[in-house]
This record gives sequence, structure tokens and C-alpha cells, in this order.
Amino acid sequence: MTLPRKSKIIFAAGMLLVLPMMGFAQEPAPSPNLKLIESAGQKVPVELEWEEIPGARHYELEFQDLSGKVLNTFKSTSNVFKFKFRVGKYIVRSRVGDVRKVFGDWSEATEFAIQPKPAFVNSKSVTTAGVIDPKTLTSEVALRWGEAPGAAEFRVRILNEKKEVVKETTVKGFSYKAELPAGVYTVELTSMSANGIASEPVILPEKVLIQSVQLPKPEIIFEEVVDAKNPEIKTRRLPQVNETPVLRLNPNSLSEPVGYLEYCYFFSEEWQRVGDINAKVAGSKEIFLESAKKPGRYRLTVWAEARGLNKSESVTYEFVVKPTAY
Amino acid sequence: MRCTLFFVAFCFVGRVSAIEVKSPHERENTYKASISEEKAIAKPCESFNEFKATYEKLLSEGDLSLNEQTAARLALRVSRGCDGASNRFFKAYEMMKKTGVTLSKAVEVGLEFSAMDDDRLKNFNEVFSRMYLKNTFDFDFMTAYKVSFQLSRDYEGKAADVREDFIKLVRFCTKSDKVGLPLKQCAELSLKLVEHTPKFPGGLYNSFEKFYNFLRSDKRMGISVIETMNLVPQIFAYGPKAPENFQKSMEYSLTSNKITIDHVNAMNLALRLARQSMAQIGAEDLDDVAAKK
Repeated sequence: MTLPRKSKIIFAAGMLLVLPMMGFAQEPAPSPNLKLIESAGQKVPVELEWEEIPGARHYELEFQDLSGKVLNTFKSTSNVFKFKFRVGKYIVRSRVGDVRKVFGDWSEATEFAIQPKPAFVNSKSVTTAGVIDPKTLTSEVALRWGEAPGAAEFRVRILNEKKEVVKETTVKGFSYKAELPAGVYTVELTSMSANGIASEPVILPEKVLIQSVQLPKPEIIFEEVVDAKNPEIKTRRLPQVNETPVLRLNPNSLSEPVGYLEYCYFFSEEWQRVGDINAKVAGSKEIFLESAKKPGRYRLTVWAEARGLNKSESVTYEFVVKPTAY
Repeated sequence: MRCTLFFVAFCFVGRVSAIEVKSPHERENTYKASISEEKAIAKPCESFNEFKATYEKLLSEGDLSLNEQTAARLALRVSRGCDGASNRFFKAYEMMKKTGVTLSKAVEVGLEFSAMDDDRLKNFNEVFSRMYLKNTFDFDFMTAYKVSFQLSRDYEGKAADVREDFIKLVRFCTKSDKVGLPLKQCAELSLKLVEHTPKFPGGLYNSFEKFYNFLRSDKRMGISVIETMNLVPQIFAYGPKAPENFQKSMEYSLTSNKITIDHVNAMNLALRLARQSMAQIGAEDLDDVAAKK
């Protein structure tokens, strides 16, 4: 594993070490504040620092496994330790010595974890068309991230606007693809070590925006009436079956037309709703406008609707029903 | 005393003769009687019968659902139209109602025609139905409505003449195979033509048919359908002699060896003579005006 970039994790362990100094028997034991600066790789570089203790010339840090077996003791003449160590949970204790290398007592042992590094992400980590596919009602979102020292796998969590987790999975590689419906999402990525230690989660810098699609306007099919004496003159009207106007629309597999029919008297501006249009309920691509028999003005308003998609703009068509004789 | 009696008797006789001579139906037969004249004439009316018939029918008219008071008030207004008013009211009202007009407007139209004579109502009904129905001119409602009023309520000539002309022209447009005009254009031509009906005593249809056939069938004319459409109302604007003068002039120019003239000038001459078919005494000739300048 290579370390693409160093990021700093500050781990405060101020109460970790209490070192009663041999050479400073009369003085109170110093209390160094231990901070984890960084770690990388399966064996990650670790940098620890604590506050300088006046008179201290030697610092020792002992790492034990959870059973108490000493794994390593790091020595330094400064208050900063730099070393490489495996990601994991340890028991740590420390002590300081004076110029004569006379050490005080070990501090109280404290459990201490070395975490994997968070995954590297940037604005290019998300790829999406940003618009749903009307057939699937989802859009593919591809996530990519860089290596993270100490990480064996990554936990991906996708949260919606209400901060609810809509997808959660663990990925071994450095990419993940998900199909998401329209919405605004936040992606949270956590590096996981082989033994289950998690890094601090990192949130992708930009939100994932997936927009819905507006359905196309329904297209009303008209019938052309050709002038018997001049075929170039054509008028259009709704097809008619037994004097009843019929609404036919160009088929659209995604949606069903919905709408209503209104009636208005001549010399009036008041439109009264006289019927509803719902192709799904009608169960046919042809809707007989039975309520358009009374002579007068009619206005048809239709639009397309489908679950998960934005409804189309509406289409209106006005027509007149005439008496057949007086 | 004698003088006074004579004067009273004279006045009475005068009124009776006025009533007898100028009843509305007879007035319709008077060429170019004005509407204002028509309204000023008095005549006896069966006003109660008209009121009763209207009132009872209004009460049974479910769509209007009028109470007795409103029905009586409306019946009273209708009965002012004198004999036949009730019938005229309901004929116009029913037609408008059947078309899909608001009931208040249908009543308004009914009231207008209740106050007119039967001929004007007949014009309205005949013209409206032919203008509006699908199997004839199939115009939009507003056009049909306006034209129907123009040729009935607002028409200043003899109502029966214009109605007959219109009906015959509709038949000519819809039935004749010779027309060669799209229905709408034929309708427009008809409407332009009936504007000139008052100039043709007894109507213009016969002259029109003859003239149209001459223009379309005589190959020497060589004019298109569109040109015919424009030319016919232009000629008919100059009265009953204009088509005849135009035709005679064309025939003379194109057949006689006494005049050498090309087709364009033959047409110009014929148009000029058609224009001169309606004498306007005192009017200056265009050539004279040009010469003076």
C-alpha cells in the first residue's frame, strides 16, 4: 500500500500517562497529553505527541496487546514519537526519564486504537447522469475513492435528505455503483480495517442530486376531414363514433393520460366539469366522451401521469358539439 | 258641428286605412321598407291569447324553472309582440337552447324575435341553421349567429327575398357539382352576394346562376374559380342589369368583327359597362374628372 497523502488524526489521550519521575521525587508526576498524529498502511506510520514535561529528557511508550503481552517499546528524547504500527487496539502506557535516564513509574495502562486512514475523496468521486431513466425510475450513481492506509474494506452509506440511510453496504474495492431514485443524497464513506476498526467517516464533498423526469405531453390524435371540393382544405376534429367524440392518444408506455372534460354554454365564461378522464380506469386507449353529447362548447384537458415521474404539462382542446338538426 | 263630425270621421277613416294598408305582413312586401317605419305602425293584437300561451308554456318549461311572477312578467313582455309573438319567442328560444346558448341569452333572442314579424324569425332560423349545421356550411357559432342577425333582425330589405336567395345559394354550394368551390369559399361568396339582394327585386339567385354558368362554362372567358369569386359580387354590386351588360359586352368583344380588342381590354370594357348599369344621376364620370385635371 502506498500513502497518497498524509492526513492528521489527532487523538487526545491526555490522561493516559501519569509519570512519577525518579529524579523529581518531590515533584508531582508529569501528565503528558498523548495525541495520535497519523497512521498509514497495514502497518501505519504513527506519530504521537504529548506535552513537554519540564526536566524530562527521555520518553518511553509501551504497546501491549489486549492480553497484556508487550509488543513494543518506543523510546524518544523528545515529546514526539514517530513509528510504524499495525492498525488495531492496544494497551498503552508511558513514562519519562531525567537526564540520568532515571525513569519514573509507568503511567496507568489505557486502551488505545490505531485507526485506518479515511478514504481519499474529492469532487470527482461521484458520477451520475443526474436524471432518472424513465423506464427504471432510477439513475445509476458511480462512487470512486482512493486507497486508505490500514483499510481492508469500506463501508458506504447513502443517506437521503431526511438523513435516513437508503443504502448501506461494505465494499472491498474502491468503487461502488447504486441505482437511486430522484432525490438529494449524502454519501458517507468509512474505511474498515481487517479486524473491524473503523476510521472516522468521511462525507463526499458534494451532494448527489438526481432529478426526476417530466413526462412528455400526451398527443391527441385528430381525424382530418377533407373538403370534398378541394382536397387541400382539411379541418381536424376528434374522431367520432356514432356521433360521440372519442379521445385517442398516441401510446406512451410510461404513463396513462388523466384529465377532465368541461362544458360551457355559448355566451358564458363559466366552465362546468362534466366528466373525468382516466385511461387506466377506462382500461382502453380509446375514451368515449359520452358526456359530450349535449350541444355547446367543450374543453378537454389532459396530461400524463406516472408514479415516480413529474406529470406532464397539460394539453387542452376546445371543440363544439352541434345539433344534428333543428 | 258638421265640420267637427266630418273631421272626426276623416280621422277615423284615415286610421283604418292606415291599418289596412300598412299591416306588417304587407309592409314586408314593400321594397326597402325601413325597420323604424315598421315599428311605428299600430295594429290590433290578441294580446291576452299571446300572454296566456306564453305564460303557460313558460311554467311548464323545466329548464327555465320560473315562478309564476317571473313567468307572468316575461309573458307580458312577449305578448307586446302582438299576434304570433308567443310562437316566435319559443321558436327562437328553442333554437338557441338546442344550440347550447345560455338560457338567459336564449330568452333574450326569443324576446327580440317575439317583437318582429314571422318573416324575420324565419330568416333567422333558416340562415342560422344553414350557417351552423355540419351538413351545410358548418360555420362557427359566432359567425353563424352574427350573419343570421344581419340577414334577419338587421336586414333592411325584403326579408323573404334575402332568405330565398340565401337558401338557394346554400343549395347551389352544397349540391351543385358544377360549383368547383370549396364550401367555405362558396359560403363567403353567398354572403357577399346577398348584400346586394335589395337591388334585385324578387332576389338575385336566378341572375347569379346564369351569370356564374356563363363565367365558368364559356371557355372564351378563361377565368379561374378565384377570379370568378371576386368578380361576381363586384358585378352584382351594380344591380340587376350589371351581369347582363357584362355578359353582352364580353360576347360582343370576343365574337364581333366590328370591334378589335384583346381579352384584357374586353374585360375592362365589360367591367366598365357593368359599373354603368346603375345610373347615378349627377355623378361625374371618372374620365371626365381625369380630363378636367
